[in-house]
Amino acid sequence: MMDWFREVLPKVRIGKKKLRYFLFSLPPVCLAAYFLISVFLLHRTVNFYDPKEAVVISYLAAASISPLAIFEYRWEWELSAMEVEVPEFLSALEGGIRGGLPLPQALAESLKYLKYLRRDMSKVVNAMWAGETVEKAVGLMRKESPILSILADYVLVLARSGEQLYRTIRDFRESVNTVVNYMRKLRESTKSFLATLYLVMFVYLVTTAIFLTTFIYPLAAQAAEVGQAFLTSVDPYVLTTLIVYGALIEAVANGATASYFMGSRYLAALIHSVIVLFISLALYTVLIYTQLPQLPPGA
Amino acid sequence: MLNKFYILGDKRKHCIVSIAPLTAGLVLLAASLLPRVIALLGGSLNLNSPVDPLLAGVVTLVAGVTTGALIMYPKMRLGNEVEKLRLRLPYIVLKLRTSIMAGDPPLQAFISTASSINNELLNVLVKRIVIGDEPAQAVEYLRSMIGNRPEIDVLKRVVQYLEFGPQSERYLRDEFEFLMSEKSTALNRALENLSMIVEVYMAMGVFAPIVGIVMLSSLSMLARGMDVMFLIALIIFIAIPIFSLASSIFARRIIERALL
Repeated sequence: MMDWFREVLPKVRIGKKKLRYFLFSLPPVCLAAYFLISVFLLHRTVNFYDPKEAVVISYLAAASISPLAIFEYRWEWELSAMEVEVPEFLSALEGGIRGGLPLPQALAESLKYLKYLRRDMSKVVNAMWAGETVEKAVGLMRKESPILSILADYVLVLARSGEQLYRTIRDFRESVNTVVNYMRKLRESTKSFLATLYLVMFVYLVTTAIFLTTFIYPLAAQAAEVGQAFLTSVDPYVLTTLIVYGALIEAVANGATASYFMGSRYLAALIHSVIVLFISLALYTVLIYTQLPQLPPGA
Repeated sequence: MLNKFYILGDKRKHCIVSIAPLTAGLVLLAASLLPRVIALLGGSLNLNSPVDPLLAGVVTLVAGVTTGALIMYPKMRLGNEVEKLRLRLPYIVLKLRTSIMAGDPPLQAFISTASSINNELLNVLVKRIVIGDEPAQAVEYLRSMIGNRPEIDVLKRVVQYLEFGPQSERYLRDEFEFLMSEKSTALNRALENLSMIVEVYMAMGVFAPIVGIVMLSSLSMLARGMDVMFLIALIIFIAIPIFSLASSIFARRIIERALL
């Protein structure tokens, strides 16, 4: 099935930078499109203070943020996986060179041990086989992290190391191992901050849900029955709407903040906040359609 | 301080440009106060105040803050460059060692490594070495410009190792290990600081808004007071994003010290 797709679909490659601009622009574009379609095609006004409208807008916002969150998570994960493979790659390269293989062949042999780094290294090897200079071939590698950048430098160094090749590669591998272990420790240590994201969204969701169902909605219903003597300032519809928008803002803000807390190079934690946001919106939808009292007009 | 960090590349011009907003603000404030002061002294000046003194005061305050920011700008840029240098030191040492192991002459390896990193301080160092300074002299020149900092001590040690020729790689390996152990300590410190910021963020950015929403809406229902919807909207649309942004900035600054 996948092969069929690969054959039928045209190959399109978009740069990461362009893709990121596109993904960032997706939420405002989707919301603007929703507004324009509602007004000009469906001929209805968009009431931002209506809880049902707020839920629809929030679902749309969450759905339009999802591709960005998925890609950001994927890029971070891929980069980390590539970094972890570097010492393994160097080890394989060392074995090849010790076995007497010339550098391009040793590089090609080392590719067997790679999964995530393979695409980049294959480009380098293919370019070298095609007769490109090592500098140009190495220029094809991604250098998005210090480890990948130094690996690219090191391949350059290897190309002109001559007899020193054996000595340099072991030392370099040890140093890269130190760096990789450090980055691993950093990632492990900051993982706990992710729990914060889930905790705060959970607290927001539970508190607001309990507050609305046990206090605001019963009082609003009571006030509608006995008149306006008690319930005055707080409109349950508007309050519910604000709380729904609050969940959206909390989720996006928490996702971005947690990413920074984790030392992420991308907004990798956004995917977690989108998951929590969908759960929150599902709960608010249930609340709005089952618990929100139907107030008489003008109440 | 490096001339490049000053506005228009010169200390005197930088001072003039920095003081200009505050001077303009003070002139405006004086012009707005002059008729009132003369009136207070019993005289009369047939001149109306061009602007309200309160507005002039606010403008002067903003101008004063702008002047302060402009005066501090070179120091902030210098701090930024030093921070960047500190972050890149393990990378510099590792790359330098790799180049030396590959057979590059140590000094040439240092120049090519320093040039490959986009840092103003290293650019100055490279320029001084290229025009004929001894590496240690060039580092001392840098120290005289930016003051005594631990990063300069590391650079001094590194350039001293270069004189050992091919033997320098052993020292550079030790230096790399030392820098990485320092990074590890920085990571532990950063994690402690981050834990504190997480607590503040949870309290101010999440729990405080929830308490605010609950309290405002309950009290207004019971007390029939003001319309609190505007305040709740302010909490949700302004306070939460601002606290998140501030926490992100603090977190970024702290975690950057531990990143490579």
